[in-house]
Amino acid sequence: MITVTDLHLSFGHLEVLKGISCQVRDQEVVCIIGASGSGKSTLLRCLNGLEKPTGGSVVVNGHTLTATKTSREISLIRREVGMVFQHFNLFPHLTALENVALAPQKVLGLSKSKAQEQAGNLLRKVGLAEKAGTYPSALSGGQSQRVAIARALAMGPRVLLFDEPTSALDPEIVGEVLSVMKELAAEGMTMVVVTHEMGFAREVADRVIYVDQGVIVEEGSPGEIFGAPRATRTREFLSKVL
Amino acid sequence: MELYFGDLFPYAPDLFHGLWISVYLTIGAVVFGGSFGVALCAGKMSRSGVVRHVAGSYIEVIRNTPLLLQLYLIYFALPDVGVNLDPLWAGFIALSLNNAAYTAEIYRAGFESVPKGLKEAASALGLSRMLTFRHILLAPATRNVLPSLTNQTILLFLASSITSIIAVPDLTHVMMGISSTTFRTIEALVVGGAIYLAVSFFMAQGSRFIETRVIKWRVA
Repeated sequence: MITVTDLHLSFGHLEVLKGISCQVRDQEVVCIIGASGSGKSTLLRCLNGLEKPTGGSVVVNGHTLTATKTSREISLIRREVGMVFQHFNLFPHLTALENVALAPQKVLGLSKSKAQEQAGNLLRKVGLAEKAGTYPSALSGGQSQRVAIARALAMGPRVLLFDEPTSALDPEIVGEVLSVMKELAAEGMTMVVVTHEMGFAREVADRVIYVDQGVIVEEGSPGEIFGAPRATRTREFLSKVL
Repeated sequence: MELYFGDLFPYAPDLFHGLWISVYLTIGAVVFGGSFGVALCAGKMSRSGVVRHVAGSYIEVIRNTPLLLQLYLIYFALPDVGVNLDPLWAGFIALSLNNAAYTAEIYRAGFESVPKGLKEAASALGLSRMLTFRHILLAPATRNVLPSLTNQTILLFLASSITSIIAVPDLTHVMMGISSTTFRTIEALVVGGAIYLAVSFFMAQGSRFIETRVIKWRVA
């Protein structure tokens, strides 16, 4: 589904990704863990072209993204890849329903009634049918993130990217977002999740990737990474966060 | 001397007609100049350097020259190249072109104040730059600068009095006419001023009402 090959990315003199190669298979849930500033969010943002790599390539479902690819390739990739952000990024002037319905209407050309009907179904799926007419400013963090998930699903993506989806939430409402994500995973959605929720990674991930200083230090099943990490750096990191 | 406002009563319909012309000019310049201003602002954010420079130069030229000069240019100089406009059209065009430059600058601040995440979310959903500008960024940006836009509209309404110089029959023109026929100069100016004050005050209150009561959302 996704193949990353020798991916490099620099912001000016700062090299954030230093040759990353990894794969995400169909229906797989991959969790990327690592300290702040390790490059894990940047890696995720390369997967849908929000960051342009300076070297290497990302192939998503046959579409290739490299340093020189045009915006046409990027837009093809974005049709296959949905994204959920740490700070939700809901459109403040649109209701929950309109947030979900907008892109299918404007990008996929669905009629307004069709897009809104689909949006209503997706809001029901994330347990927010009764919030359809509510503006984001009146939603809690957990509700906002669930609307954001519904919005990403509305485009019918093959893969969903999550960039620290629960980091901006109060501890007591993290669960409602994680349970929606678990449901998606159970339905077979391919997911790449940058997260600090080790419990979620351990329970839901098929594979865990530990990133530090722009390289993949170690990857393996949750059992391998959390049970018996091989690298010293992984052990040190896990001893701090667990 | 004694003030006497009674002489002005017969001119009430004229004053209202003058006010209508002033309001009409203002609305026209807000609608056309405002839209042009948003386009200019989009031009300043364009990926094309040429477009950015053309939009930027326009804004600087307009903002750094007097409105009166711009009006003179349109009304007195354009006929030399064969373009004859009646005063109302000349006034409307001058105010619109002027308002566009100021509106563009106000919107620049507005777009800068919109959280970057909205643009990213729109990109991630596959919306083009054009769709993102129109459907995602424009409303939050407008909301954020509503007080400045109101202020600019009030300034524009007051500045429309300048068109009386080229004989646009606006409120100021009517007021001066009444003054010279009745010789009640102070009274005419006081009444005209009071009308300007009332309308401006009403516009500010109306905008405040829209901001607090009508718009049910806010930018995070």
